[in-house]
Amino acid sequence: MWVYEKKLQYPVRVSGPNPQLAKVIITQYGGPDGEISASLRYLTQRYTMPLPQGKAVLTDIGTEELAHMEIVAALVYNLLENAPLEQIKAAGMDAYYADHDKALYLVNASGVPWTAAYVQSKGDPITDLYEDMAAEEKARSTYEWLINLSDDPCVTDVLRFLREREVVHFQRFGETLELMYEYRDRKRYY
Amino acid sequence: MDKKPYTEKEMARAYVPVQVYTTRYDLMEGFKRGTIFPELDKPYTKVQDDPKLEYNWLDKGEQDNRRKLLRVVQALEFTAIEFNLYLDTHPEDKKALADFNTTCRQLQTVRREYENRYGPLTACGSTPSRYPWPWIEEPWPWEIMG
Repeated sequence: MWVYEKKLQYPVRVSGPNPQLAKVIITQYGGPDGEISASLRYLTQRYTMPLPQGKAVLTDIGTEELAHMEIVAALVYNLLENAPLEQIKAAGMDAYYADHDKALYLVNASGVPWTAAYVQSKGDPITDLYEDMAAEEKARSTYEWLINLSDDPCVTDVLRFLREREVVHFQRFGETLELMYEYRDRKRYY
Repeated sequence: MDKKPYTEKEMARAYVPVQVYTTRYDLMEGFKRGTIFPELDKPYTKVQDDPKLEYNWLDKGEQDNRRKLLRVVQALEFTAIEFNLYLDTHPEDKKALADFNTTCRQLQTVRREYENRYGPLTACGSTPSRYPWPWIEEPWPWEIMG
């Protein structure tokens, strides 16, 4: 089960309404390399992970990604709140506004809705771990492109924190991969 | 784990060096950087070089006692998560385990203080509730910008 904590993992600040930035950051909410994709990928893969360490890593990183999903949502929510309609139109967010007002919706930066096709669970734990390591790198790159696009230092600070988490998660999946090969070899020779 | 020289290593697979925990950043430094482990701290160069970037929530303008205390709760919990993930792949590392336990004890104290003053952080039954049910009180995390 899960327990909700009534706080963010990392503080979110924005300097003011900025629909242009909201429009691209939302990709880390409902995009292919976003936090929902990450969380559901790991939490789905854990059922066919044979290694105890791997079960823990997938569960715990999958859980942390939910906290990141909340951080990204808080960014988008605060960047849209109080944004005047003129600014929303100028940012090209009028199409989103027509369907969702300022509500959070799971889409990528160009408006494509979230799909389960973004994640895979292959049944081969080694294959899954390579996917997870690639996913962390893709998310890291996305945060770098978002940092390049950001004109709000408060938002950049949050993006920088989230980007560093991808580096740490990559390391843990990599260590799990090493353990997985040892496990496979033990099974093969004994 | 695998310490064989490169030439004896199996082909057609990736290798990630296994971390060995020795030192960590202090509490707020690790939280701000997004990792408590200096060897995993690999910032994006563009951000590092940006003089405009400041850790605005810690260094200025946080006179509000609630937020100050919340930062300590967040930083301790972040530290616990870092040790948690490390211990998942290093379950027999005694130093990391001892530091995890120290962090847990500190977190319990600070969390209790925060909940006594400002209301519950969870509604799962870990703390008895005052009247009327304070869990519904605003702001929610996404509303306070912090």
